Amino acid sequence: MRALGWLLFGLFLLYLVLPMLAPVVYSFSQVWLGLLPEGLTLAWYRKVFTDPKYLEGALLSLRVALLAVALNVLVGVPTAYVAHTWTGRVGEGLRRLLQVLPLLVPPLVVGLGFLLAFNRPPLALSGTFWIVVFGHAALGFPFFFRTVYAGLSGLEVRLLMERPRPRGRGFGRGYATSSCPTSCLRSSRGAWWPSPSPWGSSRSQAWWRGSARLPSPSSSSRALGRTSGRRAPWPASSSTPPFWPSWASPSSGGAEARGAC
Amino acid sequence: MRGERFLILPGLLFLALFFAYPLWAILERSLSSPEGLTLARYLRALTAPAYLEAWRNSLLFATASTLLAALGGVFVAYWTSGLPLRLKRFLLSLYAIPVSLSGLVVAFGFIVLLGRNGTVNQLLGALGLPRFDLYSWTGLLLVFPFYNVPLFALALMPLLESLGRELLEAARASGATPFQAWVRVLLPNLMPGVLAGSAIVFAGMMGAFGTALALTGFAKNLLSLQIYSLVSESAFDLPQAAALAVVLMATTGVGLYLLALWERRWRR
Repeated sequence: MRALGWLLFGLFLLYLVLPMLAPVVYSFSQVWLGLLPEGLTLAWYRKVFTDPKYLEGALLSLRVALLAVALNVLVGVPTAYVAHTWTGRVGEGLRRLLQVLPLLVPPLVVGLGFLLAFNRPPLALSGTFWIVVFGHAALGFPFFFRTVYAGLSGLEVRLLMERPRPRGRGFGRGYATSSCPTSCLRSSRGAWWPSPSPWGSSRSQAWWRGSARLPSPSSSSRALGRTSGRRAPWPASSSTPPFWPSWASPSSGGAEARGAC
Repeated sequence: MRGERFLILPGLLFLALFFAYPLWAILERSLSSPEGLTLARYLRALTAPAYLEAWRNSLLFATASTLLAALGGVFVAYWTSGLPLRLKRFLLSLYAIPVSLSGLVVAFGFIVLLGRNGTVNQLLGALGLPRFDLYSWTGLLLVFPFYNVPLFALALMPLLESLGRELLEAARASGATPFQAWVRVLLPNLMPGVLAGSAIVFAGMMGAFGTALALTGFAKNLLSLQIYSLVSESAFDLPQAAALAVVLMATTGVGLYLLALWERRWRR
């Protein structure tokens, strides 16, 4: 019985690790047509780091990711702070809302909503860089909020905030010197979660921008398709699939974010 | 600290602008017509055979994926909880990786291993066994647990750890067979966690489409893929996509509500 359990668990670990390792191994090999890849090479990396198209795409992804995180920190930390200190129904209500929201509204629907809402006045943002940032920030917000909120629950926030006051510091100083650094530390765990999304998404950006004029991650992912020999990663008809993150996590706000599948 | 409450305003504005307003835009677009309001798109969403089939497929696919995730998740969480602390910590970090990976990379990984000329199929071919078709429903059901099982296990671990494996041992010591200890002692206690994990997986699978699109294109009729094709393909029809999105959210909402009801009954 125990041996069978270990066997199943071992199979599960293989199932988990091999699909993550395969692209890494493949990226260092010339061809993978047989059972195993052949020919160690760095050529693909040379290509990635010398072709301006890919570099531009990577930098754009990085910019989107950092700005989406910044926006989340800017908005999410104060929101979670108030939700935490405002005892009563408001904080709990907000927490519940943000727990259900990403479950009920899949990223695909958020994207469609953005497309419909921001392609007309008064907020005609379609086709701009910023709508991509806002979209990713929105997708990450519920998860970011919950992580910070859960982090604050483990702190004596009121005490932290009270301490600087007798020394004549106002709320702003108190927030900036005591509460904010601590909650920001906690929030850093949440902050890196929204970031994977811009790296992975492609078509979504094209939607929001109306047209994909700037190089986006999709160009690099298409390159994957091109370099893969006779094994096309996905049907030729659908150029590059989009990957949206969708977050969902139990109230703990822990690591159980819903990934980009 | 009443004065600080204004700090919530940016958050509320953010939610209004990036959630409420887009959702309102979806609802408005799905109902509006040149002559005023119309329910024609909802009528089509609920009667056209292709959409009905998509709806049924999505529901079946999400349910089957949830069952698989629950089965795998309970096993993985249980097995992991019994391991030495250091190994357990390492494994928990490992389980957190799939949920943050791009579906693109994952689909690519699976294609390399399980695609038509993938390593596994070459092995099967060499052994004279039938090949595995990754680009089928079975393939999709095999790929999605990659995200769902670790997710489920992570959601279940805190509860399992707090109940402790002692519960099982106590049941065994009281004369229960292993099967009885599992089914009559551990599982009923784990049920709230199982149902909460199921809600997360079910909702995610109702809306999942990235990996499905990467693997099967539009060959498999899922509600999420229908919405996507109405937005991006030649069948461009945003109002219809909006109506389907509302149907998708409503279906997910009913599913989540039923799971929540069930969970409440178990907690009592």
